[in-house]
Amino acid sequence: MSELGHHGRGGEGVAPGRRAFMWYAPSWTRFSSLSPLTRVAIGIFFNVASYLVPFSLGIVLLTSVLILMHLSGVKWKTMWFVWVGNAMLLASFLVSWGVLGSYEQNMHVIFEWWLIRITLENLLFGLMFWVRMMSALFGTLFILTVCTDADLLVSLRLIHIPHFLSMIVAFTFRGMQLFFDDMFAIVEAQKSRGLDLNKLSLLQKFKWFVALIVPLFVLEFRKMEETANAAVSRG
Amino acid sequence: MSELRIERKPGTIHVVVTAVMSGLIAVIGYMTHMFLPHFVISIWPTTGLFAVAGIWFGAWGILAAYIGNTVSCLSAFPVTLAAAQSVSTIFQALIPAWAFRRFKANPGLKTSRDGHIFMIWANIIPGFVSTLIGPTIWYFFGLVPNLDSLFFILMPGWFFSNVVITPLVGMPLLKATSDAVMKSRAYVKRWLA
Repeated sequence: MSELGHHGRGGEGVAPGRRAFMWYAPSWTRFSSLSPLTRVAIGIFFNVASYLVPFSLGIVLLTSVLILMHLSGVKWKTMWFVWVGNAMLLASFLVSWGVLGSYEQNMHVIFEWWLIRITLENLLFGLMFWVRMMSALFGTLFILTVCTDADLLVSLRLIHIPHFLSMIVAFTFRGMQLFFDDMFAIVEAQKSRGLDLNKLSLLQKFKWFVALIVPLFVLEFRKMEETANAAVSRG
Repeated sequence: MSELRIERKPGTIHVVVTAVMSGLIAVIGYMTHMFLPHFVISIWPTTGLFAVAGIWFGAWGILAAYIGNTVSCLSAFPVTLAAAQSVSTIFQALIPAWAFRRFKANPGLKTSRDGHIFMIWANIIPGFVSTLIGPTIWYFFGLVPNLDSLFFILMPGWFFSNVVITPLVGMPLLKATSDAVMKSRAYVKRWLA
């Protein structure tokens, strides 16, 4: 078996591994010997169970899925955007639950001003939901890390999802990486013409974002016909 | 001169277009997370794409909207919640698709009548239906602290963000690219082909 991208065998001359969605993982992980359906089932378990178990078990689930992700050999540095998103999500959860959460007499108030009353219980509730969401999120990321789009196709076929539907889902996951590349290519082209995202206000950023969608659509629809012809020619 | 009749039937191109459309919806959903601050996450540009998908690709577009939104919601939600919440997107694609076919409106929004049909049947009515479904599902999954937050904060926010975003994203896209899409094999004139 080729050693290219095998977990734990880094160093010179070894390929960096497979691109898993927007981050990098080894081509061959510790989980690759499992059937694709088992790998998907492990991810789905964390994804679903996170919302069914109490808080303490939620932390155990989150820790477990992070350990599994680490065992898969994922390049954590390439997942920086996930951590940034998670930190923002935690902040928004604490704020929304802290400010909007219901108030009862026996709660411990830690901050009070005008109509705003932040209690320890509501903050803990926000934290609990964040932990649940993280378990769910990393369950999905685990699937994307240890499964290729072909693995997804196989696992969907194994649970008797109609062929055209499993093709669509597998194509979607495959296509997303390509669309990201195209989108970043458009963004880079615009940056090279002087676009500075940091100088844009929120409204300008939104306008730019909408304007970005049109060329992306045009680009992808051009490719679509070629993809369909290729699919037909392969039967 | 006799009119050239093109036989329309569902084919591989429609499977591919569903995958492309759902992939684009998912990618744009993820990009929203990356480029826009999290506190304005109620600005969800893909809502404008659901209508476009339904109008251009009929039943395939509705399927694409559902799959695309489910996949993009997987970045934060469990698959059960993502799949349940995405039911609202079915109506956001289905209602415009039905209205544009029923009233024979041009997807390129050539006349003011087409624009009005879009505003009512692709924006306000689907936005309202989506508002009834999406936040309610969030509430039953325990994401909303209480009923007051559901009725007075989340539902109005959901509705207004939908109503503002859909024309901002959907109308330029329809105007700019409908002509090209309608000439392609992928365009679905009826529901399946």
